[in-house]
Amino acid sequence: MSAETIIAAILTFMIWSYVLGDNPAFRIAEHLLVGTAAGYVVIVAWFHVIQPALHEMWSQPSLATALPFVLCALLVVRKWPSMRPWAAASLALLVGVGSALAIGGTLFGTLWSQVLATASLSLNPADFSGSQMFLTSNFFWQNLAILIGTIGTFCYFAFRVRPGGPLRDLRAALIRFWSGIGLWMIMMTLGAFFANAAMSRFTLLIDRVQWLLGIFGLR
Amino acid sequence: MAICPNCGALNQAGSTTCVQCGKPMEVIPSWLELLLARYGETMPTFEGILVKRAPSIAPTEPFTAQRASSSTAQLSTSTELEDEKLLNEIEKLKRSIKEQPAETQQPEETTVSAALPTASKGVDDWLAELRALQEKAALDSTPAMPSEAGALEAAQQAPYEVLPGEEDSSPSPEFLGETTPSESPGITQAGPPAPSIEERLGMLVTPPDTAESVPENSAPEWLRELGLVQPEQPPAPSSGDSVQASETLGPSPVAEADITGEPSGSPPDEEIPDWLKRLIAISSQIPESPPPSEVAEPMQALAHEEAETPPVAEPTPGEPLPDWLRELEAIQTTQLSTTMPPEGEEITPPRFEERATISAEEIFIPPLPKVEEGTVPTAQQEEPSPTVGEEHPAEWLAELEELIERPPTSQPTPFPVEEEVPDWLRELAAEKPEAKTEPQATVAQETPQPEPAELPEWISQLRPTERIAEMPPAEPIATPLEETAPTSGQDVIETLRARLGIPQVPDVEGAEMFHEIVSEPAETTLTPVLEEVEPTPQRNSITVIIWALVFAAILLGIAILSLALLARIQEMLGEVAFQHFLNTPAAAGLVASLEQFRKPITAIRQGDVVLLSIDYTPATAAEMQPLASVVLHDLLERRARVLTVSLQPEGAPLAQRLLDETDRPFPYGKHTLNLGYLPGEAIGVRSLARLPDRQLYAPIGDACQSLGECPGWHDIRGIENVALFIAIADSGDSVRWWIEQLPVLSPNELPLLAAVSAAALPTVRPYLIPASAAPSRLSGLIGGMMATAAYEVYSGRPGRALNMVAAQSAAHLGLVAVALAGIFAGIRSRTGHC
Repeated sequence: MSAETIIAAILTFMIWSYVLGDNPAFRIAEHLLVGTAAGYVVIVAWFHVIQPALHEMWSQPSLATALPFVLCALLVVRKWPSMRPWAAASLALLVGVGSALAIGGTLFGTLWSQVLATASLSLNPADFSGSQMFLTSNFFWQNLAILIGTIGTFCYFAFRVRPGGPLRDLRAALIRFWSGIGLWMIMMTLGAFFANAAMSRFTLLIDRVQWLLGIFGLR
Repeated sequence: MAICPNCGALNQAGSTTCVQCGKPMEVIPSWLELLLARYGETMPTFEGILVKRAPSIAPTEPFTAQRASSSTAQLSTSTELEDEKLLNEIEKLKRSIKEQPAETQQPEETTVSAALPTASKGVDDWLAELRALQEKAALDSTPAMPSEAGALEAAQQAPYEVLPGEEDSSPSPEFLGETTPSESPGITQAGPPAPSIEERLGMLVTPPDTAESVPENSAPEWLRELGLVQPEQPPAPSSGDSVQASETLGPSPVAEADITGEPSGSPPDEEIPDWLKRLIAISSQIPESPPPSEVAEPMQALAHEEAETPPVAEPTPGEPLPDWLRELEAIQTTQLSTTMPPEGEEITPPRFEERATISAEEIFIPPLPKVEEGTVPTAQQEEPSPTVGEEHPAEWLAELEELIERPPTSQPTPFPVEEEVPDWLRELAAEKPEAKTEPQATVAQETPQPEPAELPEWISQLRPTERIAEMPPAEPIATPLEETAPTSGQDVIETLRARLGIPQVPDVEGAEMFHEIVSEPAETTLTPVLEEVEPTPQRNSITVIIWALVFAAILLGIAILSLALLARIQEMLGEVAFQHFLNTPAAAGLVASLEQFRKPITAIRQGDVVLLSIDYTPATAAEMQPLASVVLHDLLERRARVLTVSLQPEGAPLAQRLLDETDRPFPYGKHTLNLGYLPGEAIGVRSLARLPDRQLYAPIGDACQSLGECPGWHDIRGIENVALFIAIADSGDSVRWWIEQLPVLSPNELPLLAAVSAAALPTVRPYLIPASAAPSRLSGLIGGMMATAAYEVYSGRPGRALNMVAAQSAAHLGLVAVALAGIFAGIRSRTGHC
């Protein structure tokens, strides 16, 4: 049994001691985890981001290789108020480029594709291997659930403006009905999220217990 | 019909003599008529009394008319002779005044006061006119009242115009103000002749019988006690006539100055106009003070204190009364004037309406007293007879006294209804009187009571002596304190409730709540005190070690028990059982998603480049590492070249560990390369545009620092040379970044697969869209330990995932059991509440 295995086992027990309440052992293990993670990120950033860039700028000096460091220097000088307008250039570049990429990707990678996917769902029995077999098709029920869930969720987040006109009562009743469906859909979705998260954490626990059993020769 | 006051026989109205006894009928004295007209009151109708109205003027008419009409047996001949002498003296006095310049000239026909001081006319003419008017008045019985009222009003206002010292006199008691010595200097320097004239004039103007007939209650009690109408007292031997005059005119600073011997700069008595003397005499003839037996001591004390104290605190006639007192006077005047017709109210001060409200019973004329009694009217020596008019002042004065002296006390509130009162409250109520009496008595004895505010003397005079005498003796000490003075807000509330007549509703529910609150904290407050007092044991290192060993022993025990169970569970839910499960229709969805995921992988040809993104951290490595390992082995077994990147800093070493595990059959650098961490998240995806320039995470010597430098990888010019992209992530964000940015980065149809954790599976699943529906690159998705185990089964390489299936299945069963227990508990709690 190696030392790192023993240390890993001890740290595992220290973390699990939180079951008995907050205690110094748990605090020590927690601080070790956070500290090593932050230190590791700094090391990775230095050795895999900054050092290669410096090496590249030093070996091939150019505006393209020097510009990132200039922008970083402008971010540093933001500490002094008189230099803050210069730091705005770096911030503007970061925010502008990030927003442009995020908005473009969200619009065309998520929103548009989701709208098209939902709009392309078919409830036509002919699309499910015959008119008599569509009720036994999982895709049919899946498509139906997606449609109902989408409409209901939209209605749940609809603005509650008092409807007017002659059919205002009918409209209000429809909104109220679909809002209820949307509410149930949201609850089921959140339940699915929670269940999957719980199963994911159970997997981690099982793996850790099996590992402990393995290192102690009990398995 | 008229009733003879002598024999009681009925006579014709307007008859001057009684048909039964032959004696003349009594007439309303002219001075009373003058007063009534002066203060705007109409003459009441008196049965049995001949109302002989004097003309509007005739200042001396009351004198002569009274003399002519009062032929009762009580008047002696000597008195008439003295009156004649007095008239002669008046004539002499008027002659002396004749030389004085007239300050005002009033029409002789309209005002009396204007006729008297006018110097242009001689005294003889004036006296002659008076006599003529006297004779005329004796014949004329019913002159017009309005003219009298107007004339007398003018007579009332005349002194203000004549005397310069009266400009600042207050409107309160006006006729007293007119005769105030301070404002009429002639009075204060009254020499020996002046008092004698006033006395005699008073005797002439007011018959003794009238003075007796006017009851004390003709003026309100409070007015008399205020000093506005001073009772006449017997003249003290040392004070002389000036003292008597001051007492007749009421309290006045100048009179007090005379009493105290202070010199005064008043003009001599000869300067006093006759009209003023007449008014003085008229005012002095109204007996309105209580008997000297009742008022003697307070008034003497008041006179004594007035001599000592500055006159500021005295209610001099010229000093304005308080507003509340004026209101009380107005109320009293309204009550007294209800018997009078409303005529003349607008021109009459309400205070003096009381003088005109003499009823027929009050006008009873007793026998005329002797002149020797003179200076002290008989009515002032008699006890005040209780009359109807006296009851009203007594009532309001009693209320005033109660408001000042005794604050309103709370009435005993009714005890709650028997059915609504809980037992404990009834017990408390029964114990309350005995429990409250002694402590409050002690408090009343020990605690210093607030000293009552000192009332001014003139307010102290408001307290009637008979009321004081009737007051009960001092309350015993044991009397509850709240009955004498409110000491708390509750007492004030009770007092207000009692005064407003609001019944006290028993707040049983509130009382119960209060009882509950009072009873409960006694237990709850003791507990934390005990917890605080209880010393906490100090945990030293030995204790911590012992507890850690106990905890480890418990865990080992649980693990040993689990091993015994796991063996059985492994047989039931292990690999074999899972393989059977995959063959059931229940696993159709899982198998379908797995086949969809593996379809692009199986389509990879030998040497194709697959970009594998390791986007998970050590925290989720236990779940993600088996999945990444099985996918990597499947790719490498198909002779694909694998490049690994990571959007998280911790992903690069984890990817390196994966590649190291497969290093033996598939050496690093030849089949696999680790491009490391891509900073910038979504922006980092775009950095793959310069794929050949990416530095390796684990360079292979100096010759292979970047992708373009490594041998066997020179054909990779960009992302377009990648045949398949697989994202292995523990969160949906990393997959979303790849899904959103990769189509922009590689315009060709680069298939995208995602292998995620169970927690990220619901987030990523909406992106799994058929290619025919939308242009999405995500063509396959698997997630969770079960999918990993199924992948291991299908790839023919059993691994850690398949070993955890049994435990995972047991956890599933445990979660289902806990969920069902929670549901039943919830239903039971709801039904229990219902």
